[in-house]
Amino acid sequence: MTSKDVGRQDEQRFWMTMAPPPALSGLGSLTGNQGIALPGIGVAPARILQLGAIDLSGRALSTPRADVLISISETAGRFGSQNGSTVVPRTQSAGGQMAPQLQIAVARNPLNAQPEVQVDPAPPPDLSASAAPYLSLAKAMVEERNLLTARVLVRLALAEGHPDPESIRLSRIIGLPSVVISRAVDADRSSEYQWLSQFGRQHKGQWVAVVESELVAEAATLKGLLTLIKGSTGFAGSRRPFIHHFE
Amino acid sequence: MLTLRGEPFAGGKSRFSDELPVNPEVTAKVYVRIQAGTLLEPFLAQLDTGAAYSVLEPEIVEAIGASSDPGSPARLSVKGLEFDGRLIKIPITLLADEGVALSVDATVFVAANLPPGKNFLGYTGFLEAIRFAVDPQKNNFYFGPSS
Repeated sequence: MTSKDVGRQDEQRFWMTMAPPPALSGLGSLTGNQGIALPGIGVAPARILQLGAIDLSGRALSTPRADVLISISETAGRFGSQNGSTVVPRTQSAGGQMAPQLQIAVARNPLNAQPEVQVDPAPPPDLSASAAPYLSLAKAMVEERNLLTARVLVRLALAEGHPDPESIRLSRIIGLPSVVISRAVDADRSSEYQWLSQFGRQHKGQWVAVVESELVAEAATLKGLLTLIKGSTGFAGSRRPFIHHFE
Repeated sequence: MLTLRGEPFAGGKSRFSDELPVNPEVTAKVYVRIQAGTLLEPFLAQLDTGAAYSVLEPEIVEAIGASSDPGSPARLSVKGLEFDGRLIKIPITLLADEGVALSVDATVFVAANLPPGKNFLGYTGFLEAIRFAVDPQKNNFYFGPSS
């Protein structure tokens, strides 16, 4: 497998500033709970100080403080390590064929002005702040409103082999939504929309409940409104009141 | 309901409102009718493919009992103001005038200090999971599960 196999549209890239700055030669791979794994060297423990996303045009590469650049891409392939990159399985289809994989590549930032510093293996740095780099990155991406990148990182965290409850929980929250046909029924609410337009100005700041062209309840709070209409039935067309909050 | 090259595209249709009274927007918007969580009463939410997340106003989140859900911390910018809140999962149902309704296990941004009257259906965590089409001349909104 070569980088030619990877579609750019599926690629996610990040930059990270780490302490201590890892000495990188060629490509390495990011491990989920220890730091940077370097071919022939082993794992360089490191703590994430700063991170950010890089757009595909590479504009964010202008940040000179980034120690390493991480490329994560989806591609077809088998689990293993190739060309300095780590390939992590995502899912296995029911037919036993491997689904697309996540390929991770780590490289030194060519714009980093900092001199290389060899990693001192002892004493080990405090990794408590980044016990699970993928999960930490994912949470940071959520806070940066980059849910698509966060999803990739959570999948990496789960692919580590020991998915922790926090990764599973975050995966559920930010994962692609499930969709099901609902048995909920409703009717054309054009009459209610018309009522809002016609009488809304008289109810500024209020919650209202409307059925067809009739106001059935009004309150200053939603809680108060729901108390008023709780248990009410027999509305026209058996429809539930349509509610609206006028700013 | 709607087909694309002979295949089903959307199984539900509802009329949308293109304006809200009292505090009208300069331009028309698409407000579709939804149910959220255990709240049976339908209400309007603005379809917004540019919104970072779907948003429900605090009183609705409280009414469906999701106020205490710790979720995942997140931040949202609304008209230049930053709001610290969290992302949580809330089932949101697109209601149909014709055809079938669709329930989405949506990722929703909630914050206690969000301004009232702001409900949005954003792309990530909601619209990305469905097919939809808008007929602006007839104010019809078509929707169905993404295959």
